[in-house]
Amino acid sequence: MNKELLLRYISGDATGEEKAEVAKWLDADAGNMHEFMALRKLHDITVWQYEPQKEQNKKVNFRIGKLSRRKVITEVLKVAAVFILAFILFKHFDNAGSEYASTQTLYVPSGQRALLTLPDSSKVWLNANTTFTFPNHFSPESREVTLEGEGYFDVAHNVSHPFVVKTGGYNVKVLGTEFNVLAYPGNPEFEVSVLDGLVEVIESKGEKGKLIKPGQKIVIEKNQFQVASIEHTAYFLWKDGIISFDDEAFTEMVRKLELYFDLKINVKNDKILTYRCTGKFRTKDGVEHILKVLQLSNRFEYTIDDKLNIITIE
Amino acid sequence: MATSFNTVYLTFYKKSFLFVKSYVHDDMVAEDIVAESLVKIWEKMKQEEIDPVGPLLFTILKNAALDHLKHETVKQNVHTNIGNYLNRELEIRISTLQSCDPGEVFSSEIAQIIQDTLSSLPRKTRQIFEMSRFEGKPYREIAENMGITVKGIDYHIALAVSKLRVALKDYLPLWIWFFFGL
Repeated sequence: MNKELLLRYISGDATGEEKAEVAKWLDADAGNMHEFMALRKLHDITVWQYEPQKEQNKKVNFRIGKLSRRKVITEVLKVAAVFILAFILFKHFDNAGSEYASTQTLYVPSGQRALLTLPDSSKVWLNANTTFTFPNHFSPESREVTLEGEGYFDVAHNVSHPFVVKTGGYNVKVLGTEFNVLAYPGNPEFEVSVLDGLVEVIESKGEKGKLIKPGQKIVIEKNQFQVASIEHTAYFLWKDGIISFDDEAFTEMVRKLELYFDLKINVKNDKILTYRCTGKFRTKDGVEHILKVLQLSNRFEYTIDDKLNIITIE
Repeated sequence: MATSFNTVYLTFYKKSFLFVKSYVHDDMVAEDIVAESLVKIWEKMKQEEIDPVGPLLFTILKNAALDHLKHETVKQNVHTNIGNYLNRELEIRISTLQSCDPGEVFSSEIAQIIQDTLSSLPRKTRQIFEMSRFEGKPYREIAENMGITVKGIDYHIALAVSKLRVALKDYLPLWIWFFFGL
């Protein structure tokens, strides 16, 4: 008799056939019955004798007092950052004057997002730690912008003026459509997801192109093209300030939290790295809120160093 | 009164459910039995002081589960071969439950041994065992949570169980005589 089945039988999860099999086995030999009785009693004892640890909840409650102050400061900083960005942009535009084809560069720091309306009324949502360069006026032939980081584009339809997003290794060419481009310079992965319309991804040094249809995404890593269907559409809610994890690896989640909240996260326990996370969060609820919700389904504890802006998870 | 129904419920629901389910083998039936039993013990607590609550609740649950199992016997189909074994299986469950004694389960010596053994286990093994035995999570869910396969969960559970078996060897095989008297 395999032990797993016996244990499953005891906890009450065996099927009818398995139960019959267990009964047959139990009556076959007195030793079997003996073994079963021991495990059976062990089950009852452990179920009744276990006291769950309560320390974890205490720690969380303790920190709430601090949280509100942190939150206020973060909110103030966010508003301030937007004003500063707006001011810099305004200055840029002002200085640029009527200079034709001069470009603007917008940098969105970690922990921030931005929404930009381009001269042709296309909209671009820029994610944290992203640099975006665009001309004051689009040239008559084409509309070209440069992206380092992540952007969600809602491009105004114009058949005679293709819209091109240039990134490090690839260009994304469209006529009018909605799509998301993920191209952080340090990241080996380049990804374009298409929500509406047709998109062509072209190597920046070559002519080789690939057409991506709505509902599809292309992932390029080390020159390997891979087209797949988009399964996790909630991901794109990042542009509305919603972070969505769908069976996300813990390491990947940590990377995103660091990016979205501009902080450093150290994971001290390798076991935690094997966790997977699912859930949707509002960025404005803060990183502590996310960690607390994740604690409900995954066992870990965290401490926050406000001065250094470091979260340690163990 | 110091304790509220809520406290009793929170402290005992999970344990009661896992205990009853392991005998009745049916989630819904187990839920019903636990709910009724918790109300019953709460009514008793209003009349007299009950401390500790565990052993009495255990007895109430045991009797309710036995009532249910005894009714089950009649319903089963005895004409097929598998039916025969299933009837025998039910018989075994009834006799194990009958012989299940709160005095043995609630011994404080045993509590200490369990705590010590659990803390000597590798962290991952302990965590998986607790998720399964104390939180009642299905293997598949634990596997997803931990990012390992269901087979891996099997391994950790079996490891924890065998460690506990060895540690509790003096307390476990007490009921053996009962079965040869059948």
